Parts: sequence; C-alpha cells; structure tokens
Amino acid sequence: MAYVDEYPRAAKIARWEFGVAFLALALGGVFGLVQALYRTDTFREALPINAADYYTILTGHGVLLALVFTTFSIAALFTWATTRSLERPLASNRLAWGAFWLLVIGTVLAATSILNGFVPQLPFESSDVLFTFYAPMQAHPAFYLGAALIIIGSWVAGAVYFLTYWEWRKDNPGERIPLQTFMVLTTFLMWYLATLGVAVEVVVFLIPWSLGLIDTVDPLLTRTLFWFFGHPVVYFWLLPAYLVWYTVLPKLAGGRLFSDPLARAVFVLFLLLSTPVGFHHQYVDPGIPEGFKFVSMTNTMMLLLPSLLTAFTVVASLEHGARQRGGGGYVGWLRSLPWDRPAFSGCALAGLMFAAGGFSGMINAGMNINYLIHNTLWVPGHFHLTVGTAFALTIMAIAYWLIPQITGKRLQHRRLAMVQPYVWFVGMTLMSNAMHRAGLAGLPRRTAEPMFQEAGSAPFDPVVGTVGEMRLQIAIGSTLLFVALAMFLVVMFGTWLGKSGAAPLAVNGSIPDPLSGPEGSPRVLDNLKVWTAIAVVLVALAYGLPIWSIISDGLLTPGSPPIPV
Amino acid sequence: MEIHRFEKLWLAASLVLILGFVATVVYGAVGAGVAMVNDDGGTVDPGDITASENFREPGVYEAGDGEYAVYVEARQFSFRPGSSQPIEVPADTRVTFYVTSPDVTHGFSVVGTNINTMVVPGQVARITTVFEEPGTYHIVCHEYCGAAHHNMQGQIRVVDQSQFDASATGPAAIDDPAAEVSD
Amino acid sequence: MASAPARAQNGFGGWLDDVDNYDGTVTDMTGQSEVTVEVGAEGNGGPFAFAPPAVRVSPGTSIVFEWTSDNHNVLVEEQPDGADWAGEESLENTGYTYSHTFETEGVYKYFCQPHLAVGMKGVVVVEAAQGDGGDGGDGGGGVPAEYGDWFTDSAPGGAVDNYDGTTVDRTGQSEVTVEVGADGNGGTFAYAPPALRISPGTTVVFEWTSDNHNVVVEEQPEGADWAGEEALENSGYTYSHTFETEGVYKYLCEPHLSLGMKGAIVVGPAPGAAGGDGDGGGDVQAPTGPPEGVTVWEVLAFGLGGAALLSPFGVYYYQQRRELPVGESGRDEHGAIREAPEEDLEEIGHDEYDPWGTLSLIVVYFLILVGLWIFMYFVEFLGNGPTVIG
Repeated sequence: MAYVDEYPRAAKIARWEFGVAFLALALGGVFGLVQALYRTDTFREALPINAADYYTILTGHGVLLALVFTTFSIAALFTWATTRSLERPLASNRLAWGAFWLLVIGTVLAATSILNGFVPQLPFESSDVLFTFYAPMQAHPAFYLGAALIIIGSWVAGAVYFLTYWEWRKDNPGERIPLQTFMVLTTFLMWYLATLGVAVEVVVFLIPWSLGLIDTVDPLLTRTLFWFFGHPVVYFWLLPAYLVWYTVLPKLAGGRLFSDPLARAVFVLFLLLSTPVGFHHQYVDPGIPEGFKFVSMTNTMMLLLPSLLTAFTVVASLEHGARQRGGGGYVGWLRSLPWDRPAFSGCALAGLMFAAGGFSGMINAGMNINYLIHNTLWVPGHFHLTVGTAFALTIMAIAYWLIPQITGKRLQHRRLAMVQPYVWFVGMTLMSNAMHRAGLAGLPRRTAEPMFQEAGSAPFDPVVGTVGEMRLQIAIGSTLLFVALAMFLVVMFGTWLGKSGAAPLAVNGSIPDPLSGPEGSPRVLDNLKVWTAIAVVLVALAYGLPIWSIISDGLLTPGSPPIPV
Repeated sequence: MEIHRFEKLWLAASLVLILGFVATVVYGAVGAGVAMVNDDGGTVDPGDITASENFREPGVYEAGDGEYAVYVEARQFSFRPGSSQPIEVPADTRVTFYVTSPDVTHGFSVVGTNINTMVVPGQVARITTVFEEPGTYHIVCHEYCGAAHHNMQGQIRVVDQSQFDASATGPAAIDDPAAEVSD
Repeated sequence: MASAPARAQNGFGGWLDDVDNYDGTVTDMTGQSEVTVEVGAEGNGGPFAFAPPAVRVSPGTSIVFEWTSDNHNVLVEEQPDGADWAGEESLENTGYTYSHTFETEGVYKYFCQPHLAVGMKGVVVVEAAQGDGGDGGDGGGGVPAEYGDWFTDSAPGGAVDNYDGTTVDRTGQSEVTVEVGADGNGGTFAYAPPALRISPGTTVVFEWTSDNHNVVVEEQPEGADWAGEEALENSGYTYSHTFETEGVYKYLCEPHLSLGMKGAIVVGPAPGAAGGDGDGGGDVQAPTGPPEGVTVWEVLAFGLGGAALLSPFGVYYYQQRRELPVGESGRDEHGAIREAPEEDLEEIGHDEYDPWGTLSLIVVYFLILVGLWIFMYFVEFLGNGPTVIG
C-alpha cells in the first residue's frame, strides 16, 4: 500500500515540510548564482547588487540552504522513516505541527531580518552577519530569535520521533529497533547534545546583548560555543543522507543492504564523536591552547572511520544489486546499475562526490596543515561537495522516489529528472575543483571582490592553472548548478500540479531485508542510554577544560560591545 | 557479530590511514617544527588594547639580537601597520607578529605562506616566523568583518638586513617605549 | 548597506556619489566664525561618515573637525590653487579635535582613508558671496579635456577611484607636481591629481610617494615625444618632462593598471574658460561606482511583471496537464494508490555473495587518498614558504 494511504496524516506533515524546504532551496539557489557571478566578476554590471549587498546575499544563501532547507527536509524525511519503519503513525500530530510552525516562524523572522539588507522598508534592521554570525558583529535581535526558534522547533520535531518510538517499545518489548528508526533516534540524540552550544550562545549571550540587556560578550567564548554546534550540525545533515544510502539506495540499485549491524555501529560512532571535535574549526584561533586543539584533531581523525566504513557497506550493497541485475567482473558490474533512474543516479553521484569531499575534509582535519587552507576558497569547495552535494543532491534524488509516495501523484517530466543529477554533478565538479585550487593559491573566502587582480603584483600564484580560469569554472559551474536546481523545481512543481490517483506511481516503496540482519549483532548496540552517556562524557572531556579556561577570567570578559552590521 | 572478511580488511586499512594522518601531523609539529597559534599572546581589553602589556603601540620593534616584534592592529578596514604603510622587516631573522582587534573578528593571512591566523577581539594572536628571502608579501583579511572587508589588505616588505638598518623608519627597541615607532 | 533613495546627480563631479549621508544639499554655514564637522558620524553602513558631508563656509571660517568614533583621518583630496590645508593624516579616535581656518575660496574635497571604500568623503566650499564663481565666456579655441572612457573600467585597467570628473587646472605655472602612488584605488595606487591641465611648456615633475610604480604612456598627441618612465621606481624617485605639444596625454602604471592607476594630462587652455574658477572644462565623467541596490518596489514590479509575462505559459501548461490521457486509473478497486510492481531480479543470498568489486574500488580509493595526502602535506604544505614556528 502506498505510504500516503497508510499514514495520511504523517504524509501531510512531510509534504508541508518538503514544500517549505524546496522554497528555501529555490531562493537560496538564486542567491548562490548571484553570488558566484558577482564574485567572479561575470556580468557584474548586470547584477542588481553592489559589494556591500554581496554580504547580505551570502548570509541569505547560508541561512536558507544550510539551516532552513536542511532542517525542513530532514524533518520530512525522518517523519516518513519513523512511521514507515515502526509501522505506526506519529504519536502526536499536534506536536509535529507545533514543531512545523515553530520552524516556520523562526525562518520568517530570520529571513526577514536578512532581507532587510536590501529592502530597508522591512521592519527589522539588516543582519549581514553570515551563517556563522560571529560576535562582536551584531545582527538585529529578530535574526537571533529566528535562529533560536528554528533550533527549538527541531527539538520538538525530534521529541515526536522519541514519543512514537516509546509507544512502539511498549508494544514490542525485546525487539531490535528497526534500522531507520535507530538512525533517526541516534541522529537526534547527537543533535540535542550538539545544539546545547548554540542555544546557550544565542539565548544566554547574543539575544540579551543585542537587546542591550548586557553590555559585552566574550567573542572567543561565543565563537567556541558556536563551533561546539558548528561541527556536529554537518553530521545532522550527513546522517540523513546516510539513512537514504543505507536503507533505500540498495533497493533502488536492485539489491539489499550489505550489513545492518555495521550501519548501527556507524551511527553509534557518530553519536559519540560528532561533538567533541569542534576545535578543528578553531585551529588558528588565538586564546585556545594547542593541547585542546590536538585532542580535537585525534577525535576528528577517528570520526573518519564511520564514514570510511559507510563507503564499503554502501558500495557493497550497490554491487549486490548490480549482480542481481546480472552484472559481472571486478568493475564491469557498475554498468548494470540503473543509471537512468534519477533517484538511483542522484544518490550514487552524491555518494561519489562525497568520497572526494571526504578527502578535502581529511585535510581540514589536520591540525597544522590547516594553515594552508584556513578561510581560503578551499573551504567552500569542500562543503559544497559535502552538504552541497552529498546532502542536497541526495534529497533531490530521494524526492523523485518519495514525493510520489507521500502525495499519491505520479512523477512528471521524467526525462528532465533523469538528466538533472548529471547536470548537478558536472556543475559541482567544475565549481568545486576550481574553488579547491583557488584556495591553495591563497584566495580568501567570504569576500565580495576578487582582490589583487592580475597584472604586475599578483600574489595569488596557483600551482596549476590561472586565477582567471578558476573564476571561469566557478561561474560556469554555478550556472549549471542553478540550471539543475531549476530542472528539479520544474519536476517538483509539475508533479505537485498533478492529481492524486490519476495514474499509478512509477515507484515502489517496499524495502527488502538486509543481507545481514540485526539478529546477529550485540544487543548493546541498541542501548541508546549507554551511548548517550558516553557521548556526554566525551564532550565534557573535550570541552570542559577549554571552556573553563576561557571563562575563568570572567563570563563576559574580555568583552566586546555590539558592532551592528 | 559477523563482519565480512573484506570489511574487516577495510576496517584495518582505515585505522592505518587514520594513524598515518595523525602521525604526519605530529611529524609536522615535532619534526618540521610547525607550531599552532595558541593562548601565549594573552588577552587585552578590546576597548583599550595597549593598556595591557600583552600589546603595544602598533609598529615594528627590535626584540633582541636578530629578533623582531611586529604589533599589528587589525580593524575595520585596515591593518595598522600594513595597509597605508607596509610593514618592513629584515630577511632571515625571527619575526613575531602580535595581532589583535579592537572591533570585530578579522583574519590575518599572508598570501603564499603558511602564516594564517584569526584575530579575535580580546585575544592577542602571537605567531613567530622567519622570512628567508627578501620580497613583498601581501596580507589579506579572510574573515568577514563588514561592508568593506574585501578592501582590507596590507603589505609586508622583507628587505636585506643592511637595507633595513639603513632605512629611515627603523624600529624601536622593545624596552624603550619612548622611542619613535615606525607606523 | 541599504541603498539610499534619490542621490544627487554628480555631487561635485561625482565625488559624493557613493556617500550615503549626502542628500544633495550643501549645508550653508556661511557667516559663522567657527563651524563643526563630525568625523566618524553614523552613515555608510557604520560610523563611517562626515557630518555634514558638504558644507559652505565664508573665507576665514575655522572648521573644527570633531571625532565621534575611532580610527579616522582627514586627507585632502583636492583643494583650490594656493590653499594650504594639510588635513589630519594620522588616524585618531573619539574625542580628538583638529581645526583649520579656510581662507582660499574654492572647493575642497577630503576623505577618510580606511573608510574611503565605504564612502567616507566630504566637501568644503569656501565662498564669499552667494552664487558660483562664473566662467569667463571668452570664445577662442582650447583643448577640451576629453578622455573618452579612460578613467572607467571600459578602458584597459580598472576604474580610477580618485578621479572625480574634474580636471585640476594648473595652467600658467612653470612647474607642476604629480604624485605617483598616492592614496587611492584601494591602496597607494593613484596619480594625484589624476587629470591635470597645464600650459604648453610646463614641466611636470612626477614624484613617487610609494613604491613600485611606473609611468607608461598610453596615448599622446601626434608629434609629441613623451617617453614616460618605464622602469619601476620607488618612493622618493622623481622624473620630469616638459610638455610642449597641445593635446590629451594618457598614461598608466603597469603593475597597478587593473586597480585603476591611470592618469591624463591636457596641455593647452580650456575651451572658452578665461579665468573662471571652479571645475575645469570638458566632459564631467561620473566615476564608475557600484550600481545602486534595489528597492522593494523594483522587486515587486519585476516580480509582478515576470509573473504577468509568464502567465500565458502557466495557463497553457496547466491545461495541458489536466487533459493528459490517463491509462489505467491510479487507484485500485479499494481506492488505494497503485504503486509500480517490484522488480523481478535474480536473488543472490548472503552466503553466496562476496563483494569483490567493492574491494577493488576501495583499494583504489585508499591508494588515491594516500597519494593525495602525501602530496598535500609534503609538497603543498611544507613547501609553502614561511611557516609559523612559534
């Protein structure tokens, strides 16, 4: 039975959440294109912005895509995954809708204050502080309030999954947690731990400070609290993609998941290690002793393990599907995979790109090699491969499979959908490789003007290629990405306009059992309490002393007053 | 729990890889002598950065035999010294930069080198390096700091020791606060 | 930074075009002996403005510049012939004051160096009586100061930030100085003044005030023989040339061309100008600045216009969709949505499956990772110039 018939109320929540997510994706994508053209000085005179507006666009691009699009998509995906795997409806639809509206109000507040940057007539003042909103730059209080509401909304959404799970547990004592629900719960346990940092930063410090209730905040403390959250948030984005790759992608390939226990172990490792690594974003920060940075580095390096294991398990599952389709040989089986089905090809390409993004992440994790690439264009090169493709392309791809099931409408414009993942992949390859190389040449990130233009004293000296050629690749790549985004939106819009039940769906929602089920694995894997406790201990070890040393001279000292942007 | 032998092999390979990465980084620190920015620079009050002994009037000072200290104030939207007047230091000497900001968070990155640090208000970033060859280096602010962030840049001019000593805007000795500072 | 509403057209040859707190009016403070201008008032997206940005005072007025925020200076961009205002070059903070008594009539343009890029500029107009000093109306030929697009970025090189549309008139002097590597264009990348008018037979002394510049002649009148100074020279260097042939000479600095380090010299009297003060003759070219931001009405208009244009397509598309013939119904006999059937594939069980393909691919990936890591660490990183050692 199709999902929309089995769980109509959960399907409705998921539809609305995907709807908001795709709107944010559309607007954030437009901003991204304008940004790329401006920065690479391509048709700059035709763009309606100036250099200062660039930072408004950049803030909008970051917040809409990395905070709004992600959170809403994840809520929708997890709503589907939980109900489907527990085979029961959500424990409380009221709470689920409450979460949705909290998220929406937070989004409207934050987005309006960002748009104030171009449209002074809007009620708040501009908040060109970028996605990381470092103090002492100060955004309008509405920005911080909006961000806080989005976080709180996500907490409430998570609570609904836990409530549903506890109800299921009462009816199913002693059974192993179904894999998708296990992934949802571990992701959210990690999220609750991670968001403590940013919640304290925003609620205890930034909101009172921006309202004038306290005079100063310690910029290093707020920055540290942000990165407490700032690293695990990327796993909040990655783990849902892993959920898709582990549980759905094998079926799309025509096979079965290679190993359920290994998937569980991977998610447990993420729960343990995602948060006590935040200092690797602060390797070149003053005020933080080298010892704490080193501990963070070893934790981060350990965090490579679950991702490397995922690579094996997911590819093994795909290979199984290929062989069931009749593929043979050491690599020839790749051709038997259903590359003409966009849900499959999008996820597979996303996974491939993540393998590359993983490498640049390994470099970022190295403590001293960080000097080479910190705050250069290499960093956006890296995260466009990871959140920009591993997450975003996976969501777009799985939407082709999932949206028909939660709406009851057949997917339209199939040919457009079929090509879309490839266009995204090519665009991202061009843009990201140029960004990586430009970063190695020293070009900074988060900058409106390409500085130090060529002629005479050009300090940007790439090893291979020229700055001009890199800029061209970024311009072309981002244009292709925008085209791919437009293709995706046209497919979604066309599907949405269709009538539910007018034609049978072209997808099938059943998921076969894994090759290795959970039965053989240790029960302790399912003991979420133990893992959470260990995670908390690891965070306390990694952050306790550093935070103590920062606040020992005063919670608000050395203090900086707000400097509005 | 049953793990396929291939996956066990890969698990072992992954651990070796991770160990290799950590070992390389340790080699960089211990063998190649790369040091991380840390809390040695101390703290200052952003409202009055020269009040504490962790920071002095911006400029180039001689800190000992063949050792120089450069105090740089990074603010919206210039480096002082650096932007309007290039920072001049002699080649082949130990140069320690002390960088802080009285307003927002900035970056201090010397293009084409591994000199790269954040400048956080309230903290002094202290980094020591040696410029072996004379030449001109460009400083870039790589952390968004406001509307004209993209114009925030400076220059470091590394000159021969003899040229440096003869230059009219020589440094002041570090224990001579009354001496003129090259700005 | 939000865009300001109506901007003055060509405020002082475009000097105040990107100054947010300039609303087109020149504050009249004539008749007062002492006048205050705030340095670092709110404006231009932060405390980056002079307030008021344009004032008119009587000769002999003392202007007190009062700093109301930190890190500003007052550098003189341009002043009338014979005026001797030195500005306040050092960066000062809140509470600092500096004053100067303005005697010579004319237009004084000044700016704050670190915040020049966000528009911290100002103007002082010293005038005895109401009304402009008029242009003399003599006829007679002269050399118009026509530069085409030389000072914009349509010509080779970047836009010349310190060119405000006016040509500084130094006719009648035997020797005139042009600074090479003056402040401008985001650093010390300007000729000051960028556009100069001199009489034939004048010697121009090019004086380098910063390092690493040259003077390369782009274009000169027929018969002129100016070779420029092609060698890169540093602060303190001087070079002079006596300009005889009338016409327009264009020159540039090669290393900083893309930043906008260009200049022009017009040799010959201005057409029709016989001793009028004020701006030199010829076209006044507004400097290229960033385009204006959009207003909410423009966005709405664009959106509505776009929606109106696209609506016929939307209607057609929607109608097409409704009339799509459907094969079998999407619902089965119970009214439930039909899904596609499951794929019928050969089954390979757990015990029969060894992922050799995965192993092969993952070994290759491992080797790539190791190779790239070694390259990145040992070649790129450790080979990358000065490093932090303490």
